[in-house]
Amino acid sequence: MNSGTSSRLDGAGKAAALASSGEHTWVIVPAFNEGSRILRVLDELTTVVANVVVVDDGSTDDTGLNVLSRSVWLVTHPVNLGQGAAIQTGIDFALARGAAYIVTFDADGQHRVQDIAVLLSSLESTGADFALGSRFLGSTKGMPVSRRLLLKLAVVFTWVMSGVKLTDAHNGLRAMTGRGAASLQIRHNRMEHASEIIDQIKHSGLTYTEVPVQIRYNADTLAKGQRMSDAIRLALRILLRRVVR
Amino acid sequence: MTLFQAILVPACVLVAVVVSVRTMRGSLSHWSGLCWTVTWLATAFFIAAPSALTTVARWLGIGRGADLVLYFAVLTGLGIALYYYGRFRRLEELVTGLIRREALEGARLGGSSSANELHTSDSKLPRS
Repeated sequence: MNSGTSSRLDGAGKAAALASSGEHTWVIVPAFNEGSRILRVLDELTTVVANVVVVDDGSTDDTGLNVLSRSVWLVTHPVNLGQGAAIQTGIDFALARGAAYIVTFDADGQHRVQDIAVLLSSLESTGADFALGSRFLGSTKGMPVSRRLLLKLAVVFTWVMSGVKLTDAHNGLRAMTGRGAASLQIRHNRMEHASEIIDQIKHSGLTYTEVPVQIRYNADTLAKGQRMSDAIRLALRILLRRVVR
Repeated sequence: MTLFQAILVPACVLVAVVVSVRTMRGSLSHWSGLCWTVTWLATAFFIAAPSALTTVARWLGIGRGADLVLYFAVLTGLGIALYYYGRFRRLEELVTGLIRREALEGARLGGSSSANELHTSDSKLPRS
């Protein structure tokens, strides 16, 4: 535990079992202007989990309307706050409804629902409070070189800033126990939350494990990815927050 | 006295007087009012007597009065930027909390039971 524990399980089989046993498992899907992609993601998710909450982060397209056509919960931010804020809203919602396990899952279709069961099984088998998805432990294909470089830099940055050595510091697919989720208080509204979560895990003293997951890279899922300029801005904001609390 | 000094020295003194009056009326805290009054009076003094600024600069080991003003301006600017960044962050957290609360109170379940509003009286909902 605590670093790079791999829990490669039969994802498809576990996913099927999850549909019946995951009564207290909630999947949080932060979404911003994902009207064209959200339905495909929700249709996949609702085959494996009963409780899904989409946090519409001030979308100006039809994301919210589309979400309401499926049997999932919709929580709407009236204005765009950022993915970190959306995840914290989803955590608050899920915990208020008695979630024992919480999974964060991106709305753009880059994550596979089969990996949810792998993450949850890892939590149960290792006793960890957080299972962090890692595309570098998994068999991710088609990752652009620039994205790989960016993510590796993020790993080094997180290591330097938090002292936590992960293989993938900015993966949106992660699972946590209710206790782990309750220990988080995400204050970085935007993309810095990924580093902040790792920081808070370390300071909470709770345990984590890294789990191999696969990311789907295609034109669709790469359309909204982070660029180098975003990463520099993100790093500056994290550094600034260390100075100004 | 140059034209520049003739305009700016009274102007700075006037601002110092206005700040003092506002402080006495309670518009500014005593500490803040004192700092601003001293700052404006010092500015007026150093504009009226530039050689005094050079003396202070030499005493501090900087050499030129203009350099002293430059360093002071840069450090003050940074300090002000950090102060307002901190205020901005606190305000952002406040707004985020309000938006989150409103969002959670308006949660809806889609699908067959669409528009199933979660009532605001639901005591399980977090309040922050």
